[in-house]
Amino acid sequence: MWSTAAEQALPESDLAAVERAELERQFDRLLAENGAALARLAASYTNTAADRDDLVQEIALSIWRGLPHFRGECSERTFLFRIAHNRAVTHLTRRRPQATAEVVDIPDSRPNPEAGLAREQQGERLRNAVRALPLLYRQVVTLMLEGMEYGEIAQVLGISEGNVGARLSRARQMLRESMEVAR
Amino acid sequence: MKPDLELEAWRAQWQANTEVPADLRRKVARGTRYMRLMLALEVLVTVTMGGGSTLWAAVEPRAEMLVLAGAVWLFLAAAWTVAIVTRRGAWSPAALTTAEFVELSIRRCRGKLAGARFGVWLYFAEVAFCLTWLYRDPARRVPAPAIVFAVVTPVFLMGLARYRRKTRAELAGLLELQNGGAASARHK
Repeated sequence: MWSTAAEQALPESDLAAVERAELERQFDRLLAENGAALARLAASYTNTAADRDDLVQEIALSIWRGLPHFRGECSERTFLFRIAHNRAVTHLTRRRPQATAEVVDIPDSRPNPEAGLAREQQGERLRNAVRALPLLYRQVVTLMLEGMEYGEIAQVLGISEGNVGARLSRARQMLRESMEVAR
Repeated sequence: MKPDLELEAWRAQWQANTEVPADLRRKVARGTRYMRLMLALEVLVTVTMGGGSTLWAAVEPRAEMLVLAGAVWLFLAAAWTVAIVTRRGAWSPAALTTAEFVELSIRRCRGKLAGARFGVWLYFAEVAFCLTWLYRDPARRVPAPAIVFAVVTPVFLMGLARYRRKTRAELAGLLELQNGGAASARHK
């Protein structure tokens, strides 16, 4: 990239400020575009609101730290999710061993509180089933559910596309079984 | 290429907006703040009443003072037991879903009603004990305490009845919401 004449005229501290402002804009945009997906990802690794919010904060902080090193070798989304997954796994290993399977295996037969929200129950069943998956499968499934292709998932997780396919196939089978039990 | 319908359905469910309605979220947050306040008040009452009666018994170690301190601690223990039992599992929702927020609100309402029922028994037990303890000694047989109780009791009972009515109405609304959702889910 060529710098403009105006930028060349700026002193070094001002240049740093401009770069920082640009980074902040990029960070805000990335979070605005992907905030919901990141929250869903965080929710698949946690069981409580506080825990989820903590993880989202940690992910956002890691993104902020990682953003200056992003050189565009992959898409922004891949970059974001790679950071998010790494942070989520770290979060999982740091957490006390209670909760990976807290919501698991319990068929949720409670009625849905809002008329017309039967779909929310299905969504809840799906989220519980995803949370119950072993980490290996949960990672590929959450990315698949966010609409990523095999190649993108492979880039995020640093595995081959063939491996993604194999894991997804097994994961989908486990999801089907789990949701069938919960029905 | 054949569309993967299962995957599409899962994606739609996964990405669907699952935010709990803001008013329900606010209501639960308000309830949590109220519970914290009540807990702080209970600690204050325990320290004041329990500590005060114990101190009094220590300063004047007569049998009747020991009985008073013992009774105060007994009432406090009973109140704490009920408070802990009724609040168990009612501090935060198990998951961030509307169903869990409604479930939590229902649990809180039931806890409040159980607490109110127990409150009536505790109040009359305390009144009975206080009057007996006071009037056992002929020197203390003055009408003032009985008058105070006679005035306070109807006010207390009326307040409690209003509180129960309000809580019952809230519970009925929440149960209707829950069962209405079930009905609509069945009809789908």
